[in-house]
Amino acid sequence: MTEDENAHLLPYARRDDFKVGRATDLSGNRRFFYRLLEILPGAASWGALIGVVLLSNYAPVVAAYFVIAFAIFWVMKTAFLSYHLRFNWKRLRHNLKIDWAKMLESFRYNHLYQIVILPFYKEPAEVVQNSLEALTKVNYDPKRIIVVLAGEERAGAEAVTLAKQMKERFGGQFADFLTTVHPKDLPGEIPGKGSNAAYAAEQVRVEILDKKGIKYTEALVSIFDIDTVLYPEYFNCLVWHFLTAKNPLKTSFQPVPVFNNNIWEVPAVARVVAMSSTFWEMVQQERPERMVTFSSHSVVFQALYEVGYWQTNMVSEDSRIFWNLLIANNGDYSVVPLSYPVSMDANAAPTFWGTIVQIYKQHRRWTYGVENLSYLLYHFYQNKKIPLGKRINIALQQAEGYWSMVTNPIMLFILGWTPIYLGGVEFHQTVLSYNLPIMIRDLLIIAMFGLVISSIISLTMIPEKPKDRSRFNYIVMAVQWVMVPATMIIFSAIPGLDAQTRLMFGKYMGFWVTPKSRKS
Amino acid sequence: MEPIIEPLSKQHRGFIFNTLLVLFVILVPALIFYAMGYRYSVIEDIPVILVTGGLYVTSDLADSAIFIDDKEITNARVFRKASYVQGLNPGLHRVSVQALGYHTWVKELWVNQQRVVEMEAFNLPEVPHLRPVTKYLAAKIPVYFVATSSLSTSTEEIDREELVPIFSTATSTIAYQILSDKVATSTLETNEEFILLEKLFAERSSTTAKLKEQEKEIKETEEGTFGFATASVEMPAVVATSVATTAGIKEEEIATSTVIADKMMLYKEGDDVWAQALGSGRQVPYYFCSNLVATTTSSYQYEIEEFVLDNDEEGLFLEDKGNTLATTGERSFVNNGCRTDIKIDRQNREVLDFQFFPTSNNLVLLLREDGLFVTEIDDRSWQNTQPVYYGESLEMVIYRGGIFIKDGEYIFEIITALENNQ
Repeated sequence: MTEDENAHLLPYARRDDFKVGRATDLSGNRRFFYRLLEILPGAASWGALIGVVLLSNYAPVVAAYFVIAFAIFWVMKTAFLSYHLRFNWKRLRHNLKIDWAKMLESFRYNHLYQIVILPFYKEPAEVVQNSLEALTKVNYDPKRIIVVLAGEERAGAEAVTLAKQMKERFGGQFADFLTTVHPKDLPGEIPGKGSNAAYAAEQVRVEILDKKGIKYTEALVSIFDIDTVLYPEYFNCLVWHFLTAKNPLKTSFQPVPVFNNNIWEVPAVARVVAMSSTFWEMVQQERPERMVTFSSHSVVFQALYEVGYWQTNMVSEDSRIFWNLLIANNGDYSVVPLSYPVSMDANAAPTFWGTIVQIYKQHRRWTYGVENLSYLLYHFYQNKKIPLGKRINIALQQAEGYWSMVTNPIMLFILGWTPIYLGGVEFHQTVLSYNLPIMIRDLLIIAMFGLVISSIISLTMIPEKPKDRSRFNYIVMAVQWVMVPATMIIFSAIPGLDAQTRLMFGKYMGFWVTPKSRKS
Repeated sequence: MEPIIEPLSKQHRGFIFNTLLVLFVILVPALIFYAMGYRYSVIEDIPVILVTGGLYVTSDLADSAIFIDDKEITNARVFRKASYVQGLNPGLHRVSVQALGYHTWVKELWVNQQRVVEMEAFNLPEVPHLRPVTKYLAAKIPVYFVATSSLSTSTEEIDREELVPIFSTATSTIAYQILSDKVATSTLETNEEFILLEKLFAERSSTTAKLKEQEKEIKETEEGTFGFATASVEMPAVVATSVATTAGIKEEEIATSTVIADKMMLYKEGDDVWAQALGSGRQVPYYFCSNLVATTTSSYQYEIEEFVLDNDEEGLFLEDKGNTLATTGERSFVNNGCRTDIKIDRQNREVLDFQFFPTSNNLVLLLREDGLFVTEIDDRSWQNTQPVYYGESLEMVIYRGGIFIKDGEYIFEIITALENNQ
């Protein structure tokens, strides 16, 4: 890009390495450094797991001490996170009852536009239609809503046709209804949501904002998955938070993704995994200093424009955009939790095993967000204008998060028993070796008490059961949480380790589109 | 209505975090010390920290009661059929496992600080339970033939036992018929199992006879015409026969009176039977590597009732005249702190045959001149010996995990576990 083309970018965002996607995008020492950072997360995770095994073999007593301490840590962590979850649950329920329009009465906000970008690929018409219908029902002036249905050229003519049909059907109800077709095989791009959304955002700027003279600071961009169904007060809630934020132009806004669209149709394992993701986001909403944007989120157009929109050359664009914004703004950027839900689809395929595979792939893509750790560490090293304390704090938080997500479930539920199996004859005769499994089991039972809280909360968050479902399904909904130890390993730790290992070996992942479907 | 817009305040979260952190710092050392065997106690108003040990007792009897130092253990951690008791003061502890209708098993072992002593109990029925195997069956029911004159009297139960002597001191596990010896056998089914077992017994007898010949030769060679008292003896040729058991343990009988099962071997040396551990590391049973209770240098023997506390409390400790406890008081060959061989005490009786107990390599079936007995290899403090079936000139065959005895003309299977522990 030329200097003129870059003029709108923040100074740091003009660097040629600002939008690095992988080590191969760089050269020389920078490439080598970035490659080391890509290796780091996988090496740390594998090192910990192998270390526990080796420790169990060569120093089983020390390994037993570690396992006991770790199990106690897990109980404390579960209690800590459950406390946050419960508080956010109360906040969520409260925020759902609030009349946000009334909250806005004392504010001037009619000048604000809502740009809703809906990237889609080959999703069925019902899915697209549901999302657009929900948009027509939100409690917000539809003439202040600009809808962008962002299709992909590589999806073929059917997608183009679908977009046209949706425009015909819904176009008149909004201020604008723009359909875009993201060209395929653009140089330097990875096909996916990020590149599609970036293309769509630029089209909106040129075709609508500039033509209509809409200020970039008065346009809030919400990027949603195509299956996202909005609750009626979403935009009012968003606007209220925007107008009351300390620094609204340096803030992203994060709702809570709930996967309620098809919750009664999917297998129990899909429900548990989906709700676990929701709960994790709810916990994070109570720890805003650790929050990173995830999936559906909102941000003012100006902020996006200053960093050149979402990155087009990597997978986890939803969280990367936050790091772009944080680093480009020299650390002066934050996320405000809305504690307000948006509803999406739980991952499901026509067959049970298909669902398992899909969930695994989706979570592997999500946990591939570890590529952001390399990115932020790299730029934290480069950008000395970000306060050192903040850089260290964030780096440690993020590193711990990716490491613990992968190692903790495996260490707890599997490796906790390795001292017993590998400890040798001498260790096997000690009281410690006999008490170890008893103690771990008892501590895990205490930790599992948190599942009771999850179960109760989940029952209050699901929609009414369909009439053709028996009440027995509520019992299933409550009891299904016993699967958590297994889902934590199979759909969190293992895909996370898979993703980190791929990154470690330079087997970069592409964007995998989660298939969406609806039972008619 | 004001929204609860703010997340948890940093102070609030900090308070929760610090509280849990303090809890963590307290719990980690406390639980680690507890797991290692440390216990807080108050002795004579003085708080003390005791360093305790544990016992791990396995038993095949689901309804058995475990006593440690004559107190029944009710809060043991049960792993399948094992019980783990912790918090024991270091020192000598007596463990007994008992159940109604079964012989009592007793051990006295030293518990060390922070160490768990393992032991495996076994309890055989006090009254032998036999499954008769007869040559003929009537509608699948075993048939015994007796002289017609014997049948002329009443056929009440007690008379039936007299007619079939093996059931005078044992119980049959299935119904059987008694018929006159005048009944034509052509009307009955031939029992294939009996035919097979007869063959096995015949083979066994032949092998045993050969072994005795070989042992005699070895003995004569040892004594020798050249007076070489320590002359090396060439072992006779090995003849291997595989015998499969229901436990899947493959036993090889080598014609030098040796039985091998997994990593254990039984062999005869002179008149004594020895057990040898063939494996290494964790494959060697724990009792080969544990410290023995100090014993005298000569063999001695106890009747178990000498260890029974005279106690009026019903069921506290069953008297058991059948089980005998014996120890040789000797230490056998030592290898890297573990012994490799343990002598099986035969209580000065001649051993006619020996095998591993079908479901346990830690137990030995000894066919002695006075009957069939089970003796444990674990000789820490002593070896429990429990009778299976009394008799003289018995023959024994292990077939598909079953113990078959030939007592005169009678062949039967010994059932060592009662149904539903009755």
